[in-house]
Amino acid sequence: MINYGVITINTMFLPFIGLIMGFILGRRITVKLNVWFYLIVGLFIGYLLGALPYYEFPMSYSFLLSLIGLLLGNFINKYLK
Amino acid sequence: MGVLSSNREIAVSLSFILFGSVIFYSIYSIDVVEGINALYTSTYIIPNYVTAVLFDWRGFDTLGECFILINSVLVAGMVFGKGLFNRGFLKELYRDKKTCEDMDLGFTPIIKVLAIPMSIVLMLLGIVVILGGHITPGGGFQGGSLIAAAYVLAIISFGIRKCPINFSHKFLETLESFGALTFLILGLLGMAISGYYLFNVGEIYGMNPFPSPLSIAQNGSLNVGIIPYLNMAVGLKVLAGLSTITTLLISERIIFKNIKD
Amino acid sequence: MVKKMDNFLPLIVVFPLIMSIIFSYIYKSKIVRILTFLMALILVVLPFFGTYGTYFFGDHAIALGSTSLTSGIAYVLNPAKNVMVFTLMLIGSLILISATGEKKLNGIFTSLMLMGLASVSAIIMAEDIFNLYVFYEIATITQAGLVIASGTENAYKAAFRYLLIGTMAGSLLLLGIALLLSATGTLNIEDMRNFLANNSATPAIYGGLLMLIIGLGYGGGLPPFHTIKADMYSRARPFVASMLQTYSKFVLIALMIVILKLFGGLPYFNITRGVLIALSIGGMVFGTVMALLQNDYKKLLAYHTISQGGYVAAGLAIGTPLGIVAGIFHGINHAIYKSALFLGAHIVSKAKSSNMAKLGGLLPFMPFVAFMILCAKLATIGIPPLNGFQSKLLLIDAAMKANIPELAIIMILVSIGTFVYMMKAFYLIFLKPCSEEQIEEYKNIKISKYSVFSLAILTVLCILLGIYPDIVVDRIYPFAKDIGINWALNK
Repeated sequence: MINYGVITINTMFLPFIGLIMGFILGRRITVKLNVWFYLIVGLFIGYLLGALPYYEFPMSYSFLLSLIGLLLGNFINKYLK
Repeated sequence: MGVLSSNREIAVSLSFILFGSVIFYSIYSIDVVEGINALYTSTYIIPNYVTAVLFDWRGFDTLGECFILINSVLVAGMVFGKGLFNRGFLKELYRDKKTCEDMDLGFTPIIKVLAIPMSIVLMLLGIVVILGGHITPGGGFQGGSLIAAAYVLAIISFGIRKCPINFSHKFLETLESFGALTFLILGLLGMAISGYYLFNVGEIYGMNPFPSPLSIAQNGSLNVGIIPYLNMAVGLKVLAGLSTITTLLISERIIFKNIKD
Repeated sequence: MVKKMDNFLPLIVVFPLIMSIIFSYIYKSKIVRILTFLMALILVVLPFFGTYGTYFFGDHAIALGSTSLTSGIAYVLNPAKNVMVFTLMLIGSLILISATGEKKLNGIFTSLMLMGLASVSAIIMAEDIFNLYVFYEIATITQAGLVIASGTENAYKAAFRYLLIGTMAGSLLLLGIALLLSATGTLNIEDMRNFLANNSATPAIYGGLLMLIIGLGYGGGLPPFHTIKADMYSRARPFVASMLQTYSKFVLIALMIVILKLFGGLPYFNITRGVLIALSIGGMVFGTVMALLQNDYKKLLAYHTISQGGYVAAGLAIGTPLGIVAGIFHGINHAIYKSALFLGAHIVSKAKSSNMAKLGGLLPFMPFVAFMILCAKLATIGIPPLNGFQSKLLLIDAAMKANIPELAIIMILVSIGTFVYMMKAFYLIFLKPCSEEQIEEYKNIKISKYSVFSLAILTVLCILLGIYPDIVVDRIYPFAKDIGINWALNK
């Protein structure tokens, strides 16, 4: 059983802002990014980074969510232009 | 001429030695008095005490430091021809140059392949550093510089025209103005609620301004307040400022654009 | 726990900063001109937003418990500081109004002007030495930017040199503040003053004092930094130069007040007082001698600014209540009439050039402007019904009361020098006979109404303060009594 940590508004608010900031930056990246490569690398780095103190997650959710936001922004970028 | 310059060098070195010894002597005999730091280190506001000093106790100083950066970016833009009263000097300098060419530094494919993942990871790390500024070492200045470093890495390895990270000038200007205005207006919010500028607002009509784990607020009275938002504002502003300076320094295109009209 | 907002003091600093961000964002837009004009009107009422007393940022007032030190950043507003901020904002507003008459007005210029105004008013009001340093840096960069705005090669060079020296002086000032912080454990000026008065001095405190004086010399244009300042003033556009000299005059006053407040009553300050007086005499004499040699009107005014800065510094360095009143009053007067002179130079150089050899015979074409420039010139020399007379009288009185008649004599001699070159300049520009072609050329002069309006307001102020100096002096006196000490040199 994988432990996802406590997921409430209080704990997910900060990663969610990371998602928005990642989205803003991802909209500015013009090359197409390989989604699977970055997800795997991101998981690895997020695991090594560890969650922020007081946030009892198994890995850095803020890093992961900002990565997802960045990839999302990049993905939308491709279809808008 | 020779005598004069040697005389001058002697005078300069003498004054340098004198002044340097004064500085060294006063630094050597520092006897640190604890003073107000006793209060800073014993009062719990947020886990990162440095950020507490930067954004809560002395928030207005941080605002001023941001404005030093904003101001430098403005003046740097001015040096490159933005908003001058008279562009005659720049036009004279660039009269013979018809086009601006991008320098190709001739980097090998290894660098070009590695640069994009590196800069993306740097960007994400920058976001994490900005967001975790109130609980871990770091904060707006550091995280913003990390993101700007990612941009510099990309721009150096690809050149400005083929750069995969496309921070346009307008985007950076918007980001910088947005960051600075956010900081200023959050200060005004504190003024509206408590009567004091840059008051660390703990709650707005019963709502927590920045929901975060309950264990952070040890005394229960004050949560992290608006400090994360201030961190974000500073982060956006630093990232935009440093990136603007990079774009200004890397290409002459901006000068051509400015002196055209 | 919603409290009533009763003190809007931070708005004096924050509102111009907000507007400067907006101006820098919309710098190319067409509404910049109108917004600049509106901003100029708002600036005049801004200083009245604050109520007198101490303001604590972020509600970090005096800490309870073991230490009774101020924990956050404090600003102090009192009548003296209010007069200074009002003068600063008024001159800023008048300069912005005359800038609206410029053909190539843009948002960046307005933005820099507002940033400078905000930072200098923060420097005046700050009761916290590190906050003062932060805004000092902003003021430095702003001044360099305002010089660059004129866009000539010499302006670039002057601004670059100013910034290079500024890096050095700014970091030394920061080092001095760090030394003082380590030695006293606080950054609040009032607390630091109490600490210094009750504890014996250490080398770190001496080092801090030295660095503060270096910062003062750079910010205020005292020797050995006077040449770069004069270079800046003469390279900038004249109406910008009037703002630049206002900034540095108030920075000089504010830093001098800080030094006096911290060290004024201490026994080891006597030598420093001597050094400060020597520096200011140097400024006066160098400025006048260099001004006598100039052919360019802008350069003449630039060196004249240095020599008047020497007066201000001398008055404050004497350190008696009367000396402080005289110094601050002369600073305010100087900011007013010098801005008038630079605006006059702006109008004149629009007519033809600022080289006095090429000018002449302008009087019939702009008699009203000539009259107002003459008023300002008479004020700088110290002719009775004008404001310069009142403050110079106070300065000489203060020097005599402190038993330093040599200083008074030097002041009078420098005044005579000022008379010589100011009248020379007036003759060469307005009275000297000129050729027929030049008269033809003068006929299509267009004088900007905005500049003339600003000049007129400043002239009226010159006369008003000359007749009723008590408007200002009465407000400064309690403050000067608080920080000054009574002493006289024994022979």
